This record gives sequence, C-alpha cells and structure tokens, in this order.
Amino acid sequence: CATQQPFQPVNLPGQAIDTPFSVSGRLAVKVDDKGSYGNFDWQHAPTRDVVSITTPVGSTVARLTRDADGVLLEADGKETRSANVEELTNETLGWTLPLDNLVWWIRGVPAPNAPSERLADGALQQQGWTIRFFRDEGDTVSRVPKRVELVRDRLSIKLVTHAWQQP
Amino acid sequence: AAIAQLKAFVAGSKTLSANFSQVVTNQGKTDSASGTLEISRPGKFRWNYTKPYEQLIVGDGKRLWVYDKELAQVTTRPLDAALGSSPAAVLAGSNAIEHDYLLREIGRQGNIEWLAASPKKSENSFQAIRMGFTDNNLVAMELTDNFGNLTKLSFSDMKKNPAIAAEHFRFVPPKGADVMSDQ
Repeated sequence: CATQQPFQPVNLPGQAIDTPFSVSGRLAVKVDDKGSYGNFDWQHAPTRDVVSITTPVGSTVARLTRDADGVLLEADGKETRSANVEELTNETLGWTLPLDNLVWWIRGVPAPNAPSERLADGALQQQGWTIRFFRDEGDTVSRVPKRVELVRDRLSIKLVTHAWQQP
Repeated sequence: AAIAQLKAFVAGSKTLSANFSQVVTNQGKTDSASGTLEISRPGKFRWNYTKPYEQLIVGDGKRLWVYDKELAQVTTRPLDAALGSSPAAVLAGSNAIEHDYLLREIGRQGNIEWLAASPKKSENSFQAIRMGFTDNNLVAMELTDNFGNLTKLSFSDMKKNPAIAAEHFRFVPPKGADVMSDQ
C-alpha cells in the first residue's frame, strides 16, 4: 500500500483563521463492511461549502451545499434540506460527515473551537473521532497532509487529496 | 456519418488500446487527468488513470473493479450496474451503445464527425454523451452530467486489435488493499 509517514500537524497559536480553499481528491467511507468510494471536489469558504462527489470520469453523483440558509443535498434527482450536515448525511446516507471539523482536519490541524488530545502515536482525538494524518514519503514541504483517516465507532472515512488551491 | 463510423469502429476493434486525456469542468473549475485505455469486447476493459493520481478501473466481463493505490482501496460492483458511470463500460460493449442509447448525427467539426447518444434509461449519471470520429476511429467524447458539468475526453495513439491476453482483464486485489463492495 502507499508508503507514507505520519504528518505532524502545525499547532496554530490561539484562534485559527479559517481561509478559503479548493481541493480535489478521493474518499472512501466504510460502515462495518459496507461502504462507498468516489472522487470529491470541495470548494470551501467560511460562509459557504460546496462538496461534489463524482465518478472518476467527472460526472457528479451528489452535491452538498452549505451556506447561511442551511444545508442542501442534491442526489438521484432529489433535493434534501436540513439544518446541518451531520443530520442531513446521517438521514440520507446513513453515516455522518463531520464537515465542520473536516474543514480543519483536511488541513492537518485540530478544529479550533473544541478540545482535542494527541495520542502517543501522533493521532488526534477530537469530538469522538480519532484522526490520523499522513504525508508522502520524503515530502517535508507540504503544509497539508496527503491522506487523512478518521474513525469513530463503526464508521471510517479515508481521504486523499491530489489538487489544492488556496486563493 | 458518425453513426456509420461508430459501427465500423466497434466492428473493427475486437480489442483496442489508446491513451486518453480528460478535462472536467465543474462550476468553472477545471481538473485534468490522463491515462491509458485497453478494451476487449464484450465487457472487458482497463481504464487506468496515471496522472495526477493512480486509479485503475477494470471491467472483467462480470464485475467492475476500482483500485485507488494511494488510498489502498478496492471497490467492486456488478458490471451492468456500472454502465452509467464509466464510458469504458459503454465503449467495451459490443452493441451497448446502440442498445442503451438513442443515437443522432450532430454534424462535422473540422475532420471530426459527431454523434449524440442519449441514454434510454434515465438512471444513467450522464445526461448527454457526444462521440467524435475520424477515419472510423473514436477520437473524442464529451459527457454532460445532470449538474451541467462537462467532461472532455480525447484519445490518441489508438491501436486496433492489439494482442492482449485475457488474463490482463482479470483483477486480483493487491495484498494490503481493503476491498469493499459498492452495491
């Protein structure tokens, strides 16, 4: 499997600043032994998130939009609205996507507004999740991890990124 | 005419290999990827992304396999359930295109003759597919999804009927990779 080392997140002093980013990658979600895999494209701004899950060839399977009005999931020709992402993904997909925290975890840092703890092996524990960050072997430059794995109870989410734009 | 070229292309390539490049435009953002394609009709193909990441898609005639090397993740589902999501599955059929799609000529651009293929069954993740031919060779495909995103594929170094061992389309999950059934 991919040879990668743990990525040591930078501990940001005081209040972390949420900057916009745009990232493309692939993710695999597993609940017990059932799951799904897809490419993703995530355009993030502090007030708006658009996450598209696509097939390898670029056709969108689902799109999640979060802004001041709430959260909208477009999939299978249907639109589903909800107050927050966790509730919506749990209702429609059967597992919860911790988008608020992932905004930070995908960049390799703990979410600023919640307590977190570092385990002996470098993993991060926050809000019931155990998060591991990896970077490519020999990559000492990247400010963001190449791969992130989150586990909580029977749910595991693995994602890897291949294109970052930080305007 | 493009439809005649499609028929000649399918009939004239029991096996096929080519390079492809892919540009996806999604809400004004473009992502490029490239790789290689091998086909053995009916139903067997390897659609292998090599840049900017390694992602191998194999149709072994019965099942579709997707292997993401960096994630060490294999996903598999029945091949017929996958027709919508991978053009390779469409291309690798002996008559999948004519069987599952309504074909229409849409004219010529330079030396490329284009046809439009709209899926008969709507559950397909593509709203519209266009295929471009030159000298009975598929040179380009354009795919629009239900969100208005556009995928442009161009094919090069196409070889018709190269010798490819059947074994080449059998997929065995690598040691250490997690295997998950998608459906």
